[in-house]
Amino acid sequence: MGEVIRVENISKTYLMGEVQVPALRGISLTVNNGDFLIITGRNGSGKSTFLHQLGLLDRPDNGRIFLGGKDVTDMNEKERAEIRLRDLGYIFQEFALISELTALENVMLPAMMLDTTSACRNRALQILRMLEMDRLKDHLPSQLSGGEQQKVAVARALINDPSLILADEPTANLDSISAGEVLEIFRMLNSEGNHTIVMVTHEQEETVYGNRVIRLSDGRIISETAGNLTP
Amino acid sequence: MPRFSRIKIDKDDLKSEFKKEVRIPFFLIVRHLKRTNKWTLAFIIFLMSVAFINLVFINSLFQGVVETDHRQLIETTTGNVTLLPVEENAFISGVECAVAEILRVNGVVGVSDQVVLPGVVEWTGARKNIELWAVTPSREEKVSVIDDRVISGSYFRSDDETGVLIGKRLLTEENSGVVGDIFKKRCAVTLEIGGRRLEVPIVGVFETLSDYADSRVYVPRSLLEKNFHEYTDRATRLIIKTREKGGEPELVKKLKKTKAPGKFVTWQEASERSESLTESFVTINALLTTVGFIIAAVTIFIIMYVDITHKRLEIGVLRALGIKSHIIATTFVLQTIVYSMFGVMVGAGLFFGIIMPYFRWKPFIIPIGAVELAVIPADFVSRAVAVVLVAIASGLIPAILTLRQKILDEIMGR
Ligand SMILES: Nc1ncnc2c1ncn2[C@@H]1O[C@H](COP(=O)(O)OP(=O)(O)OP(=O)(O)O)[C@@H](O)[C@H]1O
Ligand SMILES: [Mg+2]
Repeated sequence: MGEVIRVENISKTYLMGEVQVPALRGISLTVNNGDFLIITGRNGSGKSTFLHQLGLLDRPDNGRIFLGGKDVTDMNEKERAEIRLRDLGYIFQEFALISELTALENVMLPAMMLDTTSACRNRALQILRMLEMDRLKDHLPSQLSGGEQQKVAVARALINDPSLILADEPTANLDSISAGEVLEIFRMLNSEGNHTIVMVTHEQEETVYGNRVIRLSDGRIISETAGNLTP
Repeated sequence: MPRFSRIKIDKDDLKSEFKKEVRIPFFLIVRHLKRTNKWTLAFIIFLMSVAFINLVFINSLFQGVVETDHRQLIETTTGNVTLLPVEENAFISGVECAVAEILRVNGVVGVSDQVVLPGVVEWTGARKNIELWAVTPSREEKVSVIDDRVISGSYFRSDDETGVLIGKRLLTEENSGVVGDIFKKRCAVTLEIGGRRLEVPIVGVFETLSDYADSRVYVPRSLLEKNFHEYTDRATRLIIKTREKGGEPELVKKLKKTKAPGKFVTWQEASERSESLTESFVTINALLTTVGFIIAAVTIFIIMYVDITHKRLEIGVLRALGIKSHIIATTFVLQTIVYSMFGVMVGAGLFFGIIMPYFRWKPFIIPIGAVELAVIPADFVSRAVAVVLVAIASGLIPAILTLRQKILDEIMGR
């Protein structure tokens, strides 16, 4: 059971003009291979800010972050992009699909950095089929429902077979049925695909999907409990 | 053998490396062109084409003015080559011999011996100082275009004609009124040459649209010589027409080997006026071209800036996915190249299909003549290339500016 994430005492403060807004105040955490970690907490507690640090979309003011044992804190943008591409699958709350690309094209795009177009298309089709989305492959994001768009975003996060999946409130915009489907996919990816998952949610009932649940408040971890899931 | 296979592998590596670099840009551009709003796309391309036309139009107009000026000079005044008297003399003597000599030179189509004198034309009370051009009609019509530019009456019917041809500009309100009426009303003018007065009928009126040429009176040499014997076999200049334009300096070299008395000069040398006109036009043209470039650059930059700013979210998402910055920049540069090339193509289409034909149909009438647009192919191509280069910079700069922002700011639209 290897260590996938190690976070050492990171903090992040936003500057709003003169006012300092501390979003993270010294967070330390280790996530192991195969973990399904749920991060929960109230609005503004720092969940998204924390996930951005893990997803290498932002840099902490202090502290260090290790991914797969490598210190990524001071890596240059090029190296961080490479890690985002190969090792991380990030799922945004707002889906963040490219509007001019179909579902299939959105999914295959990140893989095209690494492989030929036809190989990427085949792999993307396979993943969409797994998510039962293949019949909608030629739909543009504007022609898909929220749940369908989120599934496309999940498929895109999976295309390069990342070891770590980061999801920021992936079900927030979905109805309970779509939310259940997406969570079921995560559970399957975690148990069968051996992907490590870190998921932010503020739905209390969703914490049952994880094997670990941490609660943030005011930029600090205030509790960690075991989830219902047994890895 | 192994070495060859090594080289081949290297080449393939390079090719696949290149393919990798442009795979995503092409993928994104093709989808963008297919799915973006067609009207927006058409509008962008139209704006680019306008920027290009603006750049080409001014240049073509100036080129048209210069070419018209040169054509008018050659066709009405200097011929392709002019024979002038040697410095201290006012006249070339032995004209008949000289004409025969010059006509023998290969490439010469015609020679016209001219006596150009100051004179006064008097007509229904009005007096006007003019240049009097005495020519041998049958020779003049082989060199200049005056015979083709007669708008009323006719050109000299023979070398012994006793009437004169007058330029359109000599017809003013007080002496004639309408061109067609002059033959009904009054068909004679009084010429005053060297203090002697001569009443002569008008045989025709010509108009070249060059103010300079249209203020002349053409007289047959026979008429001049009958009254002024001193001009017999003498000329102030001979103008020579060549088979085609461009070979003048060579022809001058050949002509200098003849025994013709005088100094042969090309039309450029014969008219210093035209040189300086061209020079000042070059300066104005360069100035306006620079302004045109700035306008084109600013237009294209604004178009691309707006376009790329619209795509901040997309750029942020691409970066978050781990797509390398230079590939994202390549995407926008290639997109701008596509836009600008379409812009140039549409611009060229509009220019050659509508604007040039329009000005051929309705040329600008200015004091040197009727000006159409004229294109120097090299200038046209270099401006097309310049537009594409400007576009590349205009795509690259906003793309780089966007790529330097924070990924999260782009995705969150901050
Ligand atoms: N760009 C920013 N500039 C200033 N303050 C910010 C910025 N981003 C976040 N914050 C602040 O940092 C704190 C943590 O924000 P964050 O988005 O991480 O909370 P969250 O737990 O994800 O909340 P939610 O449940 O609403 O998504 C909040 O107080 C927020 O106002
Ligand atoms: Mg959040």
